[in-house]
Amino acid sequence: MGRFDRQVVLTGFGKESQERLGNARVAVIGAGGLGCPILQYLAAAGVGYLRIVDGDSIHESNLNRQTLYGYADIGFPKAPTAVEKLQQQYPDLNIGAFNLYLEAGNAADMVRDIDLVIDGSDSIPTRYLLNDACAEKGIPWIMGAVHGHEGMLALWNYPPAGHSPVDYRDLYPEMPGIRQQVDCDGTGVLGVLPGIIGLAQASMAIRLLSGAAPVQQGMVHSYDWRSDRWFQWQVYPGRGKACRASDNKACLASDNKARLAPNNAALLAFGKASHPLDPRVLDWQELLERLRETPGLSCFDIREWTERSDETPWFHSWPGGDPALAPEGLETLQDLVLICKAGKRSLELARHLAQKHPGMQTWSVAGGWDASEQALLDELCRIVSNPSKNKRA
Amino acid sequence: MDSIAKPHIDLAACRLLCFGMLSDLPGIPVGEIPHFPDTDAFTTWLQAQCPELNSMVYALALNREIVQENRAIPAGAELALLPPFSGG
Repeated sequence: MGRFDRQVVLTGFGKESQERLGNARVAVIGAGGLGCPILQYLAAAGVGYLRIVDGDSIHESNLNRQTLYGYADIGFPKAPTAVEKLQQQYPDLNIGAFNLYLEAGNAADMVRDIDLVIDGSDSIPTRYLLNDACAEKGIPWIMGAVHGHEGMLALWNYPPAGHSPVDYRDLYPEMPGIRQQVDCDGTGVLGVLPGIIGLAQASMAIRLLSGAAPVQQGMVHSYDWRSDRWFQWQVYPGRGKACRASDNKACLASDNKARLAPNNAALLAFGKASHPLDPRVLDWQELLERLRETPGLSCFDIREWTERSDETPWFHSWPGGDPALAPEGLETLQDLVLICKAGKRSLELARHLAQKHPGMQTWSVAGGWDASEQALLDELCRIVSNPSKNKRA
Repeated sequence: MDSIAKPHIDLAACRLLCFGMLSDLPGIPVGEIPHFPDTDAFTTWLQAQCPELNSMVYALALNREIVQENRAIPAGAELALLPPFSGG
C-alpha cells in the first residue's frame, strides 16, 4: 500500500488529482502558527515541492501552537528545523528552506518558479510585499492571519477565465499604521486558532492544486473562535491595482540577492547561534557590547503598559511605539535601539524610522524582552550605572 | 379597554458587526443601528461616534460584499467592519 492510497481511492479525487499535487510547487512564507499546519498537511498530502521562507528562530512561547517544534528546538532557526522534522517524517519529500525574512529585495526570488504561495507570516508589511510580488508575477496566493480569537483567510490573484484578478489591496488598498500591526505576541493566541486557519489554508491549496474541488478568488473567510462561527465576505476588483502601482513597484525592482542563503546544507549549518540576517537586528549580547562602547545610546522600551511586569529605568519608555506619539526630540537622534515584547514590532518600527529619517541608525533587539535573561539584565544595569568602567582596554 | 404600548420596531433598522481590534474601540455601536441612505452617510455617522476610526484602516461590508465606492443601503441591511489581522 502506498502513502497516498487513501486519497487516490477517494471519489472525486483519484490518481489525476494526486498527480497534479505531485507536480505542484508551493512556497510557504512563515513557519510559525499558520505555517506549521500548512506545511504538515501539504507534505503529508504529497505536494511535489515545498519552499519555506522564515528568518525567525524558535522560542518557548511558540510551542503552544507551532506544532512542528519542541523544547529541544528552542533557539534553532525555524525554516531549517521545519525541513529537518518534515524530512524525518517523509524522507522522499522535496523541500527547501530559506532562513530569512521576506523583504523587498528578495521577494521576487522567493516566489520564482512557484505555482502557489501561502502566507503564514505574522506581519502586515510582509503581506503587502507578498501581494505585490505575486501580482507582479501572476502567481495565486492564499492569505492567512489571526488576531486574538479571530482569524481570516482568502485566495488572491486567481481569476477565472475572462475575469480580472482580485488581490489583498482590493480589500485594504493602503497599509495600516504600526498601531494596527499587532501580532500574536501582543494579543495572545490559543494554539487551535492558527491551527484552524492554517488547516483551512492547506485545504484551499489542495483544492486549487489538485483541481478536485472549486476555489473562489476574493472570498474572505473569517472565523470567530468564541462564537465558533464562520463568515464570508466577497471582494471585487477595486483600487488595488492603482495602489500597487503607486506604492510598491519601485521596491520590488530593487535587488538584494546577497542576503539569500544558497541551499539547505548551508542553512542547516547555521545551528543554534543563528539569528535573522537583518542589519537592523541586535541580539542581547550585541546590545550590551554597543552600550559598553556608547553608554549614552538611546534605548526605547515600546512594550504596551499591559505587557510590562517589571521596571526598566535604564530604557526610555514609549508605550506602544506609535510614531504619532513619538517622544519629543526623537527625530534629532542619530542612533537608537528599540525593544518590544518579542522583537517583531520593534523591528517594524526600526524599519519605519530608518525610512522616515534617512540619517538615523535604528536597531531592534532580537526576541525582545522574551529573549532576555536575568544575567543579561544585571550586566545591562551594571553597564548603564557605571559607564566609565565599561570601555575595554 | 386600556391600550397596551407596543414596542417600537424599526423595520428599516440595520445591523452592524465588528471584527478584530475594532471590537475593542469605544464608541462603535455594534448591533442594531439606524438606517442610512448610503454607505458614505453611514461612514460619516460612524466616524463621529468613534473618531479613532479616522486614522484606522478597515474594510466596510454591506450584506457580505466589500464596499469599494458609495452604495445605497437597503432596509434591514447588515453592515460589517473588517480590519486587517496581523498575526500568524
